Amino acid sequence: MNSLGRVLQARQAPAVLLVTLVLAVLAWFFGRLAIPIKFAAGSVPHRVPLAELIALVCAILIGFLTRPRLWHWERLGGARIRLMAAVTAVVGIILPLAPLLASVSTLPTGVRWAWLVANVLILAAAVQIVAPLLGPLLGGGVVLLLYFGYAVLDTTLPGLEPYLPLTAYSGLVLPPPGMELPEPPAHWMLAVVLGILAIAINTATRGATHWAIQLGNNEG
Amino acid sequence: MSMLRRFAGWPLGVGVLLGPAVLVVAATMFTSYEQWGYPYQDWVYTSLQFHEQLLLAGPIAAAAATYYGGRLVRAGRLFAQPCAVRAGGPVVVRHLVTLCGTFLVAYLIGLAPLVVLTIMYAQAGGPVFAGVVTGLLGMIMLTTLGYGIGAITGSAWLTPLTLVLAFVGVQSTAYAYDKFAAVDPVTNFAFTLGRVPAWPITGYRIAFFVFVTIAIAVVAARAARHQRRLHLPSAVSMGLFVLLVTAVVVPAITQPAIATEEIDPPQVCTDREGIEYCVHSGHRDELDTMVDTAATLFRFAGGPPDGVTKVRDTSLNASRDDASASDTIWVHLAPLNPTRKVTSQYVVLTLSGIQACWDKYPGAQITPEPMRIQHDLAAALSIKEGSAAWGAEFETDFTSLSIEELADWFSQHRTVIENCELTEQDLP
Repeated sequence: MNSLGRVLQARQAPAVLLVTLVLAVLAWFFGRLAIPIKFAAGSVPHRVPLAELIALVCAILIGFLTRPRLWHWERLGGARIRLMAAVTAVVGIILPLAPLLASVSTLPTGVRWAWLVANVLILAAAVQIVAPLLGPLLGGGVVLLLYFGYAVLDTTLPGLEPYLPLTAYSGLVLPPPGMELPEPPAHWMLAVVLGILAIAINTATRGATHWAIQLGNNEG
Repeated sequence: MSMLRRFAGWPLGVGVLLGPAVLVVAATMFTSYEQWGYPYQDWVYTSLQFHEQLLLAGPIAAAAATYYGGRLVRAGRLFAQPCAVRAGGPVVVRHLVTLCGTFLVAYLIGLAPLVVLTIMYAQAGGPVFAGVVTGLLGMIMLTTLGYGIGAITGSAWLTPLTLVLAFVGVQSTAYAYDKFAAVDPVTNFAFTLGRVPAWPITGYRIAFFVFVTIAIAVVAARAARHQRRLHLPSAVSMGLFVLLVTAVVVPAITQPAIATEEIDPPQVCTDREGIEYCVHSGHRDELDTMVDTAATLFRFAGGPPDGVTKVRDTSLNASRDDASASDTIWVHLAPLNPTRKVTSQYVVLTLSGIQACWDKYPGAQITPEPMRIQHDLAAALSIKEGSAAWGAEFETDFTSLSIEELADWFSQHRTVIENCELTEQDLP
């Protein structure tokens, strides 16, 4: 086995692909559902697209599977270990798009979905930022919690929407015949910044901090 | 030290219980405070809130229990050494009593304002057993579920995951429609006076919640007693899991009814100007408002529509199976609907002929001309009455008419309105 094979083995590449595939199939079937969140009868519900939630779960699971399991050795490594951590982060940000794309491929033509790509990139980058700092499981949970908090905030205080980091789903809108719908505002800039930050943090820490490893020792 | 040991919170302290308990109180009040302001309360609706309000409080309790279980149960903890005698069942029971007790009390404190308001402002009746019991059992089940996740995986870091997944789970009735109403504490199906929870589904819910609670406690007790050498679930755990899946899938296929109608609901009636007005006795204080509003509108229209002899509260016949009976106007009285506005809405619906148009053009996509005129008429009537239930503040051909002129115009055009044949020439 060459060194690339060992890297793929250490980062559990088959399991990563399997998880992505299974979640893509789930998203293909159920991704068009949306979970309404509202707490007052009169307020407008915030709707969580299941495709987005599945992509976030995919990002968390990939973060967990690709965690550095030989960190006590890898922490001593040089440029090649850093490169591997950076590539792992990129994979962890890009692969969660697979369930999303599987889901949007079932949408009628003309429906705008590019904003969903930006949302998923932001969420996956956030997972990759927090995973080295807190550990993949707790870090993923924190991102999930923030995502839920965002939904609660959006339904409770709708006026805040322009200032929130994600684009909210506003219902499936079909374009009138012969016309095109405007693209909803997507936070591409934030996605790029968080992506770069995630790669930088993973490169700097080689995938995990001492603090995160200790947290994992206690609770993993 | 023995005092400390006797306290079930040892060795985590009280913070891990009291913190989430405060959150449960806050969450329950946050999701129910809108209902504190209803003009009156209704025991059926309030009793349902015992399970509906679990939407946020339930996942919080489950997440807190995950932390508690994840911290305390795993073999390998300093206070739970693999070589020590593992207590299993008694420990799990003690943990669950502590957790469920704390969160149930917190939940009841959160619901207390709504219950007190209902005791003060409900006009008849009492708590509905099915709603209250399934709500409290649902809280116990969600807490146990969260505890089980922590105890079985041995990880307190699953706490945020439990919170979000429990929310996605309890909210399933909102996006998977009625499929999971038999197994989900939160039904997302609010009904009011005049209907009662159906017994088959209530019995199933109670049995299911108790079963899940016991099953998870058993699996957690086994996890606490044994060191896991193999990472395979035991036959007992697998068997319970299969039973659980069956218990979720069967009602999702059969989809039993959630509510049935109250049989022979008690009613309060009165007569005015030849019209009989009836409400459910739980709405008896609303009767005067309803009669005044309807009578005013009938006066504006120069008398009630031909053939109408009754105005009735829909709580007296929730499914309105005789809605086609043309002698009755049904008014949907409920705590959420201010009585004057909703009476105006329903009476005007018939008076202005909109109901007739709906019957004549069922499912019409393009508003036919009479319907547009009748919407103007409806708005004018409800504005003159004062409730503006059909939209306010826009000028129509009827706004400038005095009440007498309007009544005259009405008596001249009665048949045209009732046949949905109004045209521009009929305008005053």
